[in-house]
Amino acid sequence: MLFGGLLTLAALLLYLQVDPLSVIGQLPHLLNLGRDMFPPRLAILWEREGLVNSVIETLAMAFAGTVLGLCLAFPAGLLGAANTTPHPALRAFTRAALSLERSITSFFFLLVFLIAFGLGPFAGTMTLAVGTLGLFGKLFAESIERVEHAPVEAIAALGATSWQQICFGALPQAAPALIANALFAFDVNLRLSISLGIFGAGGLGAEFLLAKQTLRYRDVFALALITLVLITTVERVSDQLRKHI
Amino acid sequence: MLDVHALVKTVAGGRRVLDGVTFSVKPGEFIGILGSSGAGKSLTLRAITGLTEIDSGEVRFTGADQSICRVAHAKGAELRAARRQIGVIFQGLHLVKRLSVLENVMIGRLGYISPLRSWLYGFTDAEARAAVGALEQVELASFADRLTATLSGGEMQRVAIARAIFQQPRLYLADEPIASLDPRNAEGILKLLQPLAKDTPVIGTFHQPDFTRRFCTRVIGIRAGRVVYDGSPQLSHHDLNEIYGIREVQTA
Amino acid sequence: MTAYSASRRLLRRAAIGAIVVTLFLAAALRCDVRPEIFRQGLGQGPNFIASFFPPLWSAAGEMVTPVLITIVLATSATLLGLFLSFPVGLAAASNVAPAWLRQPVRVLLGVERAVPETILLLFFVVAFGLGPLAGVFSLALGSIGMLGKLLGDAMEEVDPAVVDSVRAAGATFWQTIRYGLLPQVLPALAAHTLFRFDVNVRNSVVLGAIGAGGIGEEIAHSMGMIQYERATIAVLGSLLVIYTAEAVSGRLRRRLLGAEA
Ligand SMILES: Nc1ncnc2c1ncn2[C@@H]1O[C@H](COP(=O)(O)OP(=O)(O)OP(=O)(O)O)[C@@H](O)[C@H]1O
Ligand SMILES: [Mg+2]
Repeated sequence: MLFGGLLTLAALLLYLQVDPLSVIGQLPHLLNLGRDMFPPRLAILWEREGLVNSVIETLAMAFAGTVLGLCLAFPAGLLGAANTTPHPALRAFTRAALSLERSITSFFFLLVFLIAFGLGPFAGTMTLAVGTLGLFGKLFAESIERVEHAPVEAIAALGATSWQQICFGALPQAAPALIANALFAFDVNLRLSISLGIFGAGGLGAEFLLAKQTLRYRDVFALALITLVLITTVERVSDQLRKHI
Repeated sequence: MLDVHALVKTVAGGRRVLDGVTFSVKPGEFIGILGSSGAGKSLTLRAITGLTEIDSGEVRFTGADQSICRVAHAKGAELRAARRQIGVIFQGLHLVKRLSVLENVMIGRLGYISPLRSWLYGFTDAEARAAVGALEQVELASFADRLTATLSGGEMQRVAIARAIFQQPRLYLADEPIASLDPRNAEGILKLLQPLAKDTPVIGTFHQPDFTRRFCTRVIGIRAGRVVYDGSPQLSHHDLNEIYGIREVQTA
Repeated sequence: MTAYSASRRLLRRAAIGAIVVTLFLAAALRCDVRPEIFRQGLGQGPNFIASFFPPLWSAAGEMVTPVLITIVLATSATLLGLFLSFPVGLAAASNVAPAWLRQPVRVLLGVERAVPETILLLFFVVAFGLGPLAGVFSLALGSIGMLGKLLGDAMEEVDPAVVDSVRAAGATFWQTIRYGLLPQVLPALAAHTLFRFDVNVRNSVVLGAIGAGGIGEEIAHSMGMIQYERATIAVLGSLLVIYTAEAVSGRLRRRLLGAEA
């Protein structure tokens, strides 16, 4: 089986016209690159004007996109969950729309928004919002569907409106999952916002691209370290928040 | 007060699970519904609140303003208005476990608060105090701030009763309020329900004829979706056979 | 008395709301979210959207090869990542590897998972030049980050009794791993590999746009050349790939996990 897998891999690489052995030929080049990148020039943090600004821009993009996207994802989740939707047909429609949206690659949305709204973080924010709607609308709907039905029915039996049944019966049960998902959304969007920067949304991604294009490899390495610290810090903080709740 | 007339419900496969259930309820009654598993006790109660749709029949509920609501056919605001006045104590599992005990009790009056208020902040301090009063009646006032998930089954059942009391309904429906409780707890619950019935009729479903004998004012026996007994809680052997069909088992 | 207070609840909700709204406004301001840009963009909206239609169906034939390249890219990256995650996973498991090996490997795995694939790609493009190889490597590396950690964690949780019984039968170190450890982690590994395949397909479309080739490159190229009708076809192509990958991976995964449960 292992052998078959390796053979498949080799065949696939051959199709891509990649010679696995050429990697060996590239090794000296790789070592050179390693030398060029080392040591990381962390000084860019204070020497390069606007870098801190870029970091803030990336964070702002991720946050604004997350909040905007979650504001859309929440109603979509309610419409897409069998137990809160006003009509089954609406549920099917919402689900299909979300699934279609998830399948359209986010950088296409970005390209469209870049043309519509111009270069910069605004287009990035909109892209993140759209992506968040697609993924978290679905996750919200699933969390809401996992809610116990009996307590909600009991509230219906008291003469409460459907909206009150959702507010007091379904949502308190789903709340932990919804909050965990919201924190996760920020995690996801932070990574994505860096990627989108490469396509013209600004922020850290743009810094990466610029440093690479101007062959400042030690800066690229430093930027990678900064990214790493940023992402792990946010991950830690959201883990802590999750535990708190 | 409440008139249930000729309820019929057929489920997939053509089986009639309710087959002409008829009875009426007068003030001051504590009715115990007996019947073997699957006889249609829960369905009858669900039909009274309109939670389960019936094929034919009629449920007439007289509200506080003497207006009559045909619950089985009502919709929207009219149905909600009737439901506000019917306090349902379900079989155990229906409290919102992630809310505090007090909040679960206050939910009892959700039918009376405006949508805007329920959206913004929920209940007022005065309502909270009144809810504590309801908890005192079931001797759980000290549990008010506990997370409901941490309560035992018997305690949850008492919280459910507190919620119904807080609702101030004109009729109580209790579906197996003492199922899965030990005899002492079961007796405690019935001693809570009995005085309530003096002002507000209570209909409960039970599996224990000895308890209905001691606490209820009237027993309705249901068998295969039909009322086969309606009368005194002092059931004879013959009556029990009618309800549970023990004789058939013996002859079989 | 009880701790319930309506005013306190209202205050808490208002406070949380105010914090989120303020942060959001600050972030939005930083991102140039201004109504006039929005209005301007929306104003062009209908015309702009219309420029994507009708799709340039005649270009569909040109999309077959890029679609294939994207699929092959994702598949080979998943396979490569899977193979490499075995040694890495072993090196990350406390019941197999010594601490001096395990700790740095764990740190590296964490780094791999934290750095977005697009950034990895930038590195590999520098090293190997533009083309699918850089794409394969960055996706494979991302896969190792996930599968290697999974394998490492799974190995640590493997029932020691089973491993002992195999070892007691006189098996060598490698035989113990093969017959004691692997069978236990295989279902989870297969499920995660399928999931990773789904992720890799999505990412390979994105990476295509920044130099790895495939359907992503077609989308970026068409957009850049203002051939929006052609871009529509390319997007449809990517949609097909992503949709199919999600459906196939999801179905297989459900079957696997269903059989497990
Ligand atoms: N939605 C439904 N679809 C099909 N059958 C149903 C449905 N609801 C109830 N039934 C059937 O109706 C019959 C009566 O159910 P009901 O819940 O009223 O029984 P019960 O008398 O309360 O029994 P128990 O003492 O076990 O609670 C049962 O046989 C049940 O399977
Ligand atoms: Mg029942």
